[in-house]
Amino acid sequence: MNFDLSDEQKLILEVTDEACKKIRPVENRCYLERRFNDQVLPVFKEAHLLGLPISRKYGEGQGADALTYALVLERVGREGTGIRTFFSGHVSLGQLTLQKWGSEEQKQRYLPRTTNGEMVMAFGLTEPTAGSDPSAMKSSFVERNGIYYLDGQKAWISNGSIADLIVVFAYPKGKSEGMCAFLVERNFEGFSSEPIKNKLGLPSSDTGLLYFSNCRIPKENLLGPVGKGLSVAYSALMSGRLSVAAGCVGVAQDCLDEALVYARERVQHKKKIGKHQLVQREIAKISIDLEASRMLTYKAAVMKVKSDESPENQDLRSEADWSIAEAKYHAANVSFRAADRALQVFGANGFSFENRPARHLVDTRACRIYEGTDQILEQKIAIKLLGAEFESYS
Amino acid sequence: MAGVLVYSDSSDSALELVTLGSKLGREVSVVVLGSEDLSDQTKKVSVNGVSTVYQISSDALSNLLAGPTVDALESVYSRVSPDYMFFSSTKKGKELAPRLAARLKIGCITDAMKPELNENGITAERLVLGGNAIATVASRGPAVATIPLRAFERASGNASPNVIKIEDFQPRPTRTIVLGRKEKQKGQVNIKDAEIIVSAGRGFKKKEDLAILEELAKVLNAVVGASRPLTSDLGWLPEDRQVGLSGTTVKPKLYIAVGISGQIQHLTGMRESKLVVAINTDKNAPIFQECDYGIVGDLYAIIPELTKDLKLQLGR
Amino acid sequence: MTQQPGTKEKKNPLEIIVCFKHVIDETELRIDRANNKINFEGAKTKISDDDKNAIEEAVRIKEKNGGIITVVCVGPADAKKSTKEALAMGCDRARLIVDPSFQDGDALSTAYILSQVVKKIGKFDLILTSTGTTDSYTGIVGPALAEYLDLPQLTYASKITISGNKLTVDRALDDGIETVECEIPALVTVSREINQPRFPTLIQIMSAGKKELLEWNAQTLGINPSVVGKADSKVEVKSLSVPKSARKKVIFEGKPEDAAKQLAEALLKEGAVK
Ligand SMILES: Cc1cc2nc3c(=O)[nH]c(=O)nc-3n(C[C@H](O)[C@H](O)[C@H](O)COP(=O)(O)OP(=O)(O)OC[C@H]3O[C@@H](n4cnc5c(N)ncnc54)[C@H](O)[C@@H]3O)c2cc1C
Ligand SMILES: Cc1cc2nc3c(=O)[nH]c(=O)nc-3n(C[C@H](O)[C@H](O)[C@H](O)COP(=O)(O)OP(=O)(O)OC[C@H]3O[C@@H](n4cnc5c(N)ncnc54)[C@H](O)[C@@H]3O)c2cc1C
Ligand SMILES: Cc1cc2nc3c(=O)[nH]c(=O)nc-3n(C[C@H](O)[C@H](O)[C@H](O)COP(=O)(O)OP(=O)(O)OC[C@H]3O[C@@H](n4cnc5c(N)ncnc54)[C@H](O)[C@@H]3O)c2cc1C
Repeated sequence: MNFDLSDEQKLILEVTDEACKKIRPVENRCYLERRFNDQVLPVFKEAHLLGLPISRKYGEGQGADALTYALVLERVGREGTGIRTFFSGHVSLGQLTLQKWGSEEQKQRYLPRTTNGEMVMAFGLTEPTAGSDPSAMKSSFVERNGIYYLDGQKAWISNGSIADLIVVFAYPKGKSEGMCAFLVERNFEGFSSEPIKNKLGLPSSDTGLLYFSNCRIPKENLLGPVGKGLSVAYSALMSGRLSVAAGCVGVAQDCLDEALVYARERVQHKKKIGKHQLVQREIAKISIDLEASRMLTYKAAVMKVKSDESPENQDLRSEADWSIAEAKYHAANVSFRAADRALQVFGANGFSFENRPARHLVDTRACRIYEGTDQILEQKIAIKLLGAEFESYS
Repeated sequence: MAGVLVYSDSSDSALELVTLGSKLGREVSVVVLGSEDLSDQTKKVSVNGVSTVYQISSDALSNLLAGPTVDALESVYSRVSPDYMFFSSTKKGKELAPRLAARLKIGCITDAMKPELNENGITAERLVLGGNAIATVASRGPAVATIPLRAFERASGNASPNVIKIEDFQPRPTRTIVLGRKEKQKGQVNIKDAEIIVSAGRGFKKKEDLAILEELAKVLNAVVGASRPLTSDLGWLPEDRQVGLSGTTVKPKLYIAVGISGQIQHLTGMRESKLVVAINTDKNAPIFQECDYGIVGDLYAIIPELTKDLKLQLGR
Repeated sequence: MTQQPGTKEKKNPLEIIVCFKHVIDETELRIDRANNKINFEGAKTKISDDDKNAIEEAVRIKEKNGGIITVVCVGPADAKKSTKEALAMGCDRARLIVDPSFQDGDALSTAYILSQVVKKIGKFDLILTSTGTTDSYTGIVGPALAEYLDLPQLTYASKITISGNKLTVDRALDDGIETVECEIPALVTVSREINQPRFPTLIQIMSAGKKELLEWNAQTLGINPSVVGKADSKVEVKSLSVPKSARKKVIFEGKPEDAAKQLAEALLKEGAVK
């Protein structure tokens, strides 16, 4: 595989870079004041990045392939996991899922407004009682006179309390099969939400709780075929995980960059600390981890491009799914370790949220939990090799 | 040894260029241009060190547009054949010098700091790469240069240089006309010559909040400057208050940067201040590497306190 | 503009030439103050900041008046990336001028090369440049190019209007705004405040690759290498160094009222306030 960037990829990365430079001072302020960064949307809208991998047929959709999109998210990831998570919820889990499963009418109705940032998207699968095991979910719906009525609760939903349009999953009332996916607008009767407080990290990015109380969903907002909810969810997680992997590569890159700057300036024992070999080791380790993760992630992205080009090919899809799981697992762990190492290089100054390693450390920790915990992915990767009959929990 | 020719659209800055010429040990001639009687201007530049004043008065020069001005300067230049010609680094100076140099086929150095003579030309320093670096450049032979304002004291004294009126000036046909002019509303504020400047940056959350800084400025008899986001991007303050690479270069006795991160383009404009103070919440802000005194903290808490203290101490 | 007989009613499309420089991104340079060195290794490159305003203005003029924009860059071969960006922003065709003999010349040499490029392009009504680049920032090229082409120069433009053959420009000068007018063709240097350059979309970036991009060199331009570049420069760069800071760096932290008091005392002691 050849990962040389084309001029076009370099240019879209420059556009991304400019937008990232604009958002950085705002993010600094919001992070320290622990408040939501409401400039992420306008800044990236101006850069036309809110519908990057969406088809050109829909509004501001730019038709980027999965690799180009991953490169952009890697750059975004350097600014912090909070900003990248906005993209994961809005684009990877939200819009790409709508694009894959939505009817033409649904796509025409929503994608132009989501790609131009008029509507923010989110993806609501997790519930207080259903995380790694979505089949344990309690949300349920009934159908009356061509209208669905939804009851239940979703927890830990990225963009949850700011989203205008949410992909929501539920079982038919009284059943634990035949899951359906819906497109819920925030102004639908019976819907409410609130932001989650006291999070370990991601203070400038929204994670929400969603409530559905006899929430009225018109029939035309059923997403995908009846009963295919779980397939919708799993397909979404492929794009979602790839976005996490790419973002985490960016995080590790930023940790490396920050550690280099600091090691070149800070003096102890009359030497730049970069001259102390044990400090050099931290830098070398970040770098080796980072490069390995980057290659895994680019490879996974290329696999995804191939699979996207032949959607019927199940083998390709399964290969891509596996590669993405490996890349996400690796990058999530590498970014966490990189943050830890960069923090060590910074010493006490690393122990302050005024410096990005500390922020990365707490923020990127979420990446080992969401879109498949470390444990779930380890098993997924092993089962692909051992064979489906070794699955321990289905 | 041929001399030095200087021109500036303001007599005050022409006097700075005269000082430079004398410093280089050269005979200095000054050009004065206009469309009316030039005796006032001539008198202003008749100071020690000036040997000759060349006057051209012509209708074509009423607005001092680049075309006829360069024609006029060319005609003086060809008469004097100086080694060097100096302009001020004003916007006008910087549009004339290159065109004249191109016409005369001699070198051009803009924003020349610390100009000196070498064996066969002029050497100077220039800020480049957004203020990150200083380039030393040299001309091979005669050259035109523009000199930052206030780099030299104004020459003074009463002298009686030769005054030569050039009567046979023939401008090329004028192609550009002036339709109108809107003076900048400056008020009394002039940050260029201020002794104390308090500058506001993006650390201010809204325009109204600048009032607390105005209050401090009043106590210090200072003027309020700003970083670029507050002038050209947000328009909270007029552009003539902008300090920095693309704004004004200042060198006050005291410069107080409030809520300014200290990006290189800003630093470039205030680096020569005698004493620099920074107030910023971010202790890693680059401005703290460039200050004599700094406070890490919230400007909204600190400025009122500082104002109060200074008011008390200074008895205002 | 020459009017052809019989086509009096039909206006020729406006021909705009916009010049940009491909520069090192000065915001990402690594400055080694201790060793007085600037590390250019792996430095990123970009279109000089204000040249984006010039390109943006060309595109806006085209959107309003119609026309064709030719974008010109004298630079290294890797300026192709920046050239594509200019095309993505809305220019119609590009001329990238690459020749080893053009390297390291002074600004007059660059202006001379550009004048020969313009002559080879042939027809034009308006040339746009910025007032200074983000790297060497001499501001020489615009006025010098106007001189070589014997064009009126309208510098520091904060507003440009074209109506028929009339070009009206607001010039942002040190002491105010001056409105001037002339007939095209002319050269205008734009100020940064004239507009906010757009971000190209990925779609525009991809389609830029299909627009005409010609590479010219000394030979295609008929320029004798001994009259340009380092060979003929009247100004040369002797060295680069890093500005130094020798500030006291006394930092007060702690409660606002205490820090403010300490600062006030320090300022009085320095005799900085009276
Ligand atoms: C910041 C953040 C943002 C999020 N955004 C979203 C979102 O946008 N949309 C959404 O739907 N969800 C989102 N989530 C939820 C996330 O996907 C879940 O937290 C995740 O799937 C794990 O579920 P859980 O938290 O219920 O943990 P649990 O599933 O209860 O797991 C607890 C522990 O048990 C382990 N475990 C569970 N099952 C097994 C098993 N079979 N074998 C071995 N170990 C096991 C897990 O690995 C974990 O260590 C987000 C979470 C966070 C923290
Ligand atoms: C070609 C070019 C030319 C330029 N020319 C200029 C120029 O002439 N002049 C110029 O200024 N800039 C110029 N710039 C822009 C420059 O790069 C910076 O963007 C600009 O100086 C930043 O302004 P700032 O420090 O006010 O804002 P920021 O960089 O956003 O900094 C704001 C600061 O305020 C601090 N802060 C926030 N809240 C508080 C609080 N409550 N109390 C105290 N501190 C707080 C923050 O920590 C931060 O350090 C130029 C840029 C380019 C590319
Ligand atoms: C450190 C350093 C210092 C220098 N100092 C001097 C000096 O004092 N005097 C001197 O004569 N030369 C000097 N040079 C050489 C000069 O920088 C180059 O000749 C350069 O090509 C043009 O100058 P500029 O970047 O200052 O452009 P400017 O004159 O600032 O450019 C104005 C506008 O002209 C157009 N333009 C400029 N260059 C190009 C290009 N290559 N292709 C297309 N359009 C262009 C753009 O629209 C640009 O915005 C210096 C070079 C360096 C590296």
